[in-house]
Parts: sequence; C-alpha cells; structure tokens
Amino acid sequence: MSNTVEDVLERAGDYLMQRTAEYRELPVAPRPDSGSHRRGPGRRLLVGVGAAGALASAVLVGTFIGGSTPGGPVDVAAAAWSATPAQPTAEQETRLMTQCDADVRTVLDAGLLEAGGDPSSLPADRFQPVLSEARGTTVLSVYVSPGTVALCATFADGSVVVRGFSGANEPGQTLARGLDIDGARYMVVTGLLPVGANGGSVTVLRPGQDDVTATVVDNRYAAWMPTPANYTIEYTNPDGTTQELGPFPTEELAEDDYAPVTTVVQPGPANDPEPSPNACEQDPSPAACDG
Amino acid sequence: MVMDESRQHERQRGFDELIDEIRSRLLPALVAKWGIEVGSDVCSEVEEYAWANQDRVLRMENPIGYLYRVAQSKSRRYTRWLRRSTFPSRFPELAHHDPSLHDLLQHLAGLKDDQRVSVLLVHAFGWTYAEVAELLGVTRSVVNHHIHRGLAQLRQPETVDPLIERNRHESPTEGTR
Repeated sequence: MSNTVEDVLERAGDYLMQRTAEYRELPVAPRPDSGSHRRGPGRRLLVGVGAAGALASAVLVGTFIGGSTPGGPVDVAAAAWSATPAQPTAEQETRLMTQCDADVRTVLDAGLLEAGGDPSSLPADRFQPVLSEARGTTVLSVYVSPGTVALCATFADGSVVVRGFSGANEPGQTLARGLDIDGARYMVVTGLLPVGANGGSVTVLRPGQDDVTATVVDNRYAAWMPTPANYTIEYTNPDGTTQELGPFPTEELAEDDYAPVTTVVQPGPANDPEPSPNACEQDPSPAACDG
Repeated sequence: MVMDESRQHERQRGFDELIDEIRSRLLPALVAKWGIEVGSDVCSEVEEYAWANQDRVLRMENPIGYLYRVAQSKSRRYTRWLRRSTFPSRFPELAHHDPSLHDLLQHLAGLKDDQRVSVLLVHAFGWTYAEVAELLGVTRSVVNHHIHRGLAQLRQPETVDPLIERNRHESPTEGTR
C-alpha cells in the first residue's frame, strides 16, 4: 500500500464517501470517469439513485421517529431509545473514552479558566466520567470539574456531541438542556441530589409519556430524552418520600436558551441568526451568505 | 394539456439531474468542509432548498456554486456551538487498520477549511482546479495557493492535532454567553 500523500488522499476520498454512504443509507457506486483527472479504480461517490424518494424522506428527518427514515444519528438514537437506562457495554465504554476525551478536556479547561482555575490541575490522563448510561445505541456520559459539567453523547454511527455547561455542581441544582443536533432536538437533564440525600432514585415525569428513569451514580443523576416535553423531575428517597426537582416548561426548551440555568461554556453566539438564502439570491457572492 | 405534461416531465427530469449533481459533486465538497455527519445533513437541507426553489435554481448558470453558498448559511446551526471545524480529527477505527490514512485525516482536520476542501476535491475526488474555483467562487490561482499550502502542511512530519492545538492556544470561552 503506497503511502505518498497523494495516494493516501485517494484512499481518504474512498473512505469519506463510504462512511457518508453508510450515514445517509444511500448506495455507493464507482464514479464514472469524467476524463478530467486521473482516478484510481474503485473511486466511490454517492449516486443519485431514487432521488425523489430520498428527498421526501429527508424532509421528514426530525419529525419521523422510529421508522426506517434515513436520518441522522438522533433519528437512530431516538428509535432505539429506552426510558430505562442500561450500563454501557465494554465496547461502548471504550468508544466513550476514546472519542469524548479531547473535546471534554477542551470544555473542562475552558470552564476552569472561566472560574479562575488552573487547567493544568486537570488530570493528564484520560478523563473518567462520573456517570455514563446507555439508552439503546446512544451512550451519554457526564464529566465534571470545578464549575463545569461536560456532557458527551456517542451515537451508533460514530458521531460524538460534546457540550459544556457551568452550574449543576451544587447539591439540589439541576441542569436541563435542549440539544439541537442534526435538526432534531432532544433533551438532557443532569444534576446533584438534594442536600442530605443518600441514595434513592430520580425519575423524569412526562405527562402522557413514559416516565424516564435517570441514572444515579453517587449523588449525580442524568438522563436524556429524544423529545422535549413538559416534565418534572422527582427524587425518591430510599424511605419512599419524594421531592420535586423541576419543572422546566417546554416553551423555554423550545428556544436555544434553556431552563433553568446558567452559562454555557462552549457556545457560539446566543442567537446567531441564520442568514436567509434569499440574501444569496440577491447577491450570489460568498460574502452574501458568509457574512 | 399535453404541453403542460411535457413541461412538467421536463422539469422533473431537470430536478432529478440536479439532485444527482448535488449528491455526486456538492456532497463531497460539503463532507470535505464539515465532515461526514454535518456535511451530509447540510446536503439534505440543500436538497430541500433546491426542491422548494427549483424553478429559480434550475435556471442558474452555476447552481452547484450557488447551492454551496446556501450550504454555508445552512451550516450555521451545526457549527455555532463549536469554535473549531466540524471536520472530525478522530478516526479511531482506522488507527490500526490504516495508520497512514488515520494520520492524514487527522492532519486534514488541521487545515483551513478552503485548503482542506481544495486538497480533497482535487486529490481525493478528482476535480480540476477550474471546477474547484467555480465552486468556491475564486480564481484558479487561489485554488492553486490553497492546494500548495495544504499539501505542504500535510507533508510536514509534525502536524498538531487541531483539538489539542486549540486547547493550548485559544480559550474556547471567548464569546461565552
């Protein structure tokens, strides 16, 4: 196998298109030679088979859950989602450790800097999540450092999402966050049990939908749901008494700001307006859409 | 009536060809710029946009170049959370199977977007410099510059992982709200 940069770039093209085909659930075929450039055998590109049908499916992404719609990782994750969490498998744990680490480190570093701390105090080795849970094909892990919580979700297709937040580091604090991924929105809650709590369980109550059992490790709990909804979070003491930790209304989650917390550690601008494509139509220069 | 059906058929055929063009030519460019997941998802949005605006898009001289700029707009919602490129720098499944490819993809993530797009389109997907220039809306000499700089960087034995690089030199809390 040749390893000149040009040859490896050709393999990179094949690899990226193969993975893209898998992601989009579209067929892959050798691309016909345009004659404009040398092409190695087996060059792969997506082909437009069934264009109209696939397009109709694409329109449904984010609204059709649980079927065979070729969608993004959230669709797949939502289809396999379970209201009751499971322990991640060894393979999922390995992926988690490998894929989350760098971005989690970035987020936690940022949180420490913001809090006036010293990022060099973070462990040089890989971070260990304080909590991880699997729901279907998706694994959610929670990492904490002083002042910051980082969430990492790994999806079945290999994609990874990391978000960082400040807050939810004090007993009784809950952080509820809507995440907008691939055009679909889902929700993550995490927090610490109330002062004096020792064990017990946490349940996310969603009127008209299944209750969601959160994962509790030590005093930290977390859960994710594929659809935002009005909900309350209920903590059940080992003696059976309950205490409400929510609620957080849907209206707030529908925005890109989230109840009830806090400062986001690694965002872009809060309300970055998406420029209208019509601006491009009026002035098709790159600046019209990029600006 | 026959004329209407004929026009309708012609328009449908034109749109199917446009979708084929989007998937065979625009999609690799979007994947080169934003990676597999975001590039694919942005492509789906561009297809929807093309469907909704097909009369206008089909009349354009350079619809793929136009739709590439529409994609810039559509990508905002995916990239605003990250202050780095969404082109991934981690390909753990390749580390043992094809270490050279693994390293190259990681180094590609460290290139500037236009450098990476130009290098991949020409050397991985077989585009000409002129085709890349038309897509990006720049001259061929600019594409030549992107590719020259990109390849030079890829040939450097020490290329820093962009995630680690950013970690060292840039505070991602800038712009915190």
